[in-house]
Amino acid sequence: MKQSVLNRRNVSVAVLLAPMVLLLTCFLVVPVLGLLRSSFLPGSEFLAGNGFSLTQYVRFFSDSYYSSVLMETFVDGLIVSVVCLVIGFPTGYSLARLSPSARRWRTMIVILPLTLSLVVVVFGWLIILGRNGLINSLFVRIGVFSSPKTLLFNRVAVTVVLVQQFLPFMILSVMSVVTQIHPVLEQAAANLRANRFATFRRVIVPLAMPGVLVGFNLVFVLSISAFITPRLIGGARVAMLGSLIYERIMSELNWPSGAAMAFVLFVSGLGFTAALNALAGSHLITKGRGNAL
Amino acid sequence: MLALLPECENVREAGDFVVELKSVSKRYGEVLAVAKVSLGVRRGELLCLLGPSGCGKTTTLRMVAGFVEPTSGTVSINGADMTHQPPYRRDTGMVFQSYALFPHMTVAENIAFGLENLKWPRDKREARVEEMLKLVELPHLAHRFPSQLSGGQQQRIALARALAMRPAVLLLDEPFSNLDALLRVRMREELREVVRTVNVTTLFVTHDQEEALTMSDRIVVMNAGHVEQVGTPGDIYEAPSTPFVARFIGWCSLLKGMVGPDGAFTSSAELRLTGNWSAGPSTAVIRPEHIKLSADSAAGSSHQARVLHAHYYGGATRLLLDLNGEHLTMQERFSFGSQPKPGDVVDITINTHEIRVIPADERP
Amino acid sequence: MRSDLVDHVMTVFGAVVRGLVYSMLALPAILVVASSFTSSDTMSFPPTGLSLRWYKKAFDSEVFMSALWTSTYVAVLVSIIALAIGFAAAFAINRFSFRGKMFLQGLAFSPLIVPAVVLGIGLLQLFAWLDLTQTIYPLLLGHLVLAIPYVVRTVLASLSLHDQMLEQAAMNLRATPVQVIRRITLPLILPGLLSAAIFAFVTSFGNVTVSAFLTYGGNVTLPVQIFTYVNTSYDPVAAAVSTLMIIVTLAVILTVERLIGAERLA
Ligand SMILES: Nc1ncnc2c1ncn2[C@@H]1O[C@H](COP(=O)(O)OP(=O)(O)OP(=O)(O)O)[C@@H](O)[C@H]1O
Ligand SMILES: [Mg+2]
Repeated sequence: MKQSVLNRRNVSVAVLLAPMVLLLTCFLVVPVLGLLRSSFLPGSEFLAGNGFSLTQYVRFFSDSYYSSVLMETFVDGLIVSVVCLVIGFPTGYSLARLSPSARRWRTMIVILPLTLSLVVVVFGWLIILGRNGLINSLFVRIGVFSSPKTLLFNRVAVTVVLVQQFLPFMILSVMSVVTQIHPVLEQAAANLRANRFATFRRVIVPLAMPGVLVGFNLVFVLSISAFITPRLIGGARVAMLGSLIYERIMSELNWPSGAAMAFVLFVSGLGFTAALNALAGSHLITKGRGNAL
Repeated sequence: MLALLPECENVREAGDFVVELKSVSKRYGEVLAVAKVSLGVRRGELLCLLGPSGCGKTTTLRMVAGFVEPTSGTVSINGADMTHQPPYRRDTGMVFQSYALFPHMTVAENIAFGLENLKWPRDKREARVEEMLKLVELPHLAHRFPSQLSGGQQQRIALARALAMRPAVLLLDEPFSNLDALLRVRMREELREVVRTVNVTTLFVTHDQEEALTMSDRIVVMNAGHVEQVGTPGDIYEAPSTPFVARFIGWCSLLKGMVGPDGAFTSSAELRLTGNWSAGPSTAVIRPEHIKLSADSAAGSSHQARVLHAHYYGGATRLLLDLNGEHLTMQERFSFGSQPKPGDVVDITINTHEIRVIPADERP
Repeated sequence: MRSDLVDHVMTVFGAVVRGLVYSMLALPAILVVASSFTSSDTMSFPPTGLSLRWYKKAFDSEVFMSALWTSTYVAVLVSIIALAIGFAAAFAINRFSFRGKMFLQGLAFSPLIVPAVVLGIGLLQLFAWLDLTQTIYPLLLGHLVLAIPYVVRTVLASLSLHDQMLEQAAMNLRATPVQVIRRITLPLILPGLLSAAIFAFVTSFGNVTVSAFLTYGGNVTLPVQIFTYVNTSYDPVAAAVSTLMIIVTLAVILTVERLIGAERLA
């Protein structure tokens, strides 16, 4: 009797979970593993290719061009994440401390770029930065520029656009963690003679660290794998790993090479996340044992 | 003993106030949370703000700490005007209702936090933390995190943290409300003990009258944003200056009526109590202990009353009596089996020397 | 005095940053909408004249309209299927305890940590190998994978929010498990389910980073179409089409905000 109930329960769990497991295995795990396999093909063919070699990886790491692109992509990702942190933290913090009614329209503004298709957002930036765009016409009119300048096709523009795209992730991560820090802790700090900066540094930042880490990781990984923005905003002049991969696969049809580059990207992203978490984790484990009230 | 208006007298005499509120009001939109409250906390005393829920106690306390800015009036601490100073510039130490211990800091780090902000040197800081932990009798917990402490321990650490800075005034907002009944009584005594030991001026908020009566040197009774009465626990209980205070503290029956030219009180239901009160419309406050059963009905000031309800409370019985249409409550210990039943008629005497008659116009 | 200065600087910095952030976040969408009504032949800002000609051109355009159709069709299918799959999984995760639960939860959220390029190329390779690139399946299945984490998370949140006591009460009133789900659980978490479906819809409808690898043959989604179009030409048709996407997205955000509050969209 008891046995059959248990069995029925197990069967229901299995039936409920099977579709998702099947879907994610076939169309997430298998493709990623397949890509991994292709990255070890020696030639430039993947369907016809066979054999196993490290050729693609060796080529990637021995070519100084690729390593410099990888470097630049990483540096760019770091800059984007840091800028997002610096401007996203105050915004997320204030959102968390606002009354629900005041929070409403602000949240909508934060969420819009997140839900809106990336191309539309990037297209909006083309209107802002283009030759006949907002900034050029504004600056020419008020006399900052004598004639329209090329504001697109450089790394700064790409960085700015990436920041805008991924900023919502940071804001929302910070907001959700700050909502869990009870405001009474800030009052307690103030009562213990801590001014706003000391409260921020010694109470808010340590307690918000988990959310900050989540946001930072997310923004970093999204930035280093971006390819739409680098292509449209940066053009051919700004090389980022994501756009290089897109190029390699979609134009040159060189699968094994593209696959290897994609894996370098994937693994380095994971490595960064792991390193960051380890770095912060050793600190958090000793300090963050409590719950935030 | 019945010379009243203690609040005015006290304010005039004492002078040495650590905290002084002058005509402080706080308005939240439509709600006037605190209305023209003036009070002073004397050096070294434990003053309690007591009142029903929503009467503005927390708001008043927070105006002292600086978390709420008054709409009007001034707050001074040690004689200096602090009305518009931020919390971190005020010499107060607060124990929050939820304790508000920093979850990412150890007990010792929590206690040291205020000292660091005051730029105490390290060795003095460490010594002080140790001293504080000894004071609250938890020296072995220095390196625990708040989440690893029991409620009572957290409470004591919060107290230690607030006291570490040697604040001019210790502020506590219902510090025992998160503790169970038994622990609450124990912590009450401990707090009293600690406060005596370090001799710190204390402003304490509670809505628990027992807590207020047992702990305080003086009590401020608040109602709907204003101060009803300030006095020692004895004053407040024995000589309430308004019917509200009488009803809020302890059990009592209130009779509305009139004091005649002869100084005797006559209730609206014609119950007459002889005495020497000042003439005019008044309210008589009769507490259960002012009424005794009389042995025989011959005695002069004795009355016959009908029992409406009898509630056994374990040991004593509380009787609700009807006396010429006035309802009175008394408490008495009856031997087993001899309790009066509803409908019985009993003879009672009212100790008119002890009852308090409040003139109707006395309330400001 | 020094701390006064620090406080002041923090206040000013915060206010400036917030102003900057909100305008930066809203600006691109506002400009797209504003320039879609231009009457001139090229994109420029401020737009000159006022006309609906680019909307007419967009609606007349075979490529954009078929892309809009493909996007809608895929997004609707994805929201229905993702909701079914995701709900089943979330229900199992929330209501049963079993071994490997943490692992399954991790699996459900794993599409979030795989970079879009990696997933895109991987799927493209898989479907090329299966010789299915000319069909709608790559898009459909790719978007399903992307939508699962959002659906599972939203459903999990609404399942754990509502009080299981109510279900116990229903069972005590002799309702069978199926009746409990149909008459108590489902109605209570309906807003959450709708939001989950809407999530899946926007995820699919707006995606370009994975779709860019999966649009072969006739199956091009609207974002990918805009991407290719903007890559080569820069005229206001793209603004008109983008405005359509903005309208759809805004409508969706407003609906979710009504249903469960916009914060949960994150
Ligand atoms: N931030 C606020 N906004 C609006 N009204 C408030 C605010 N804080 C307090 N009030 C109102 O002010 C009045 C006094 O509140 P206060 O918290 O001081 O009461 P209290 O005496 O501490 O009550 P309790 O014993 O329940 O804690 C209440 O009517 C309350 O609703
Ligand atoms: Mg209160």
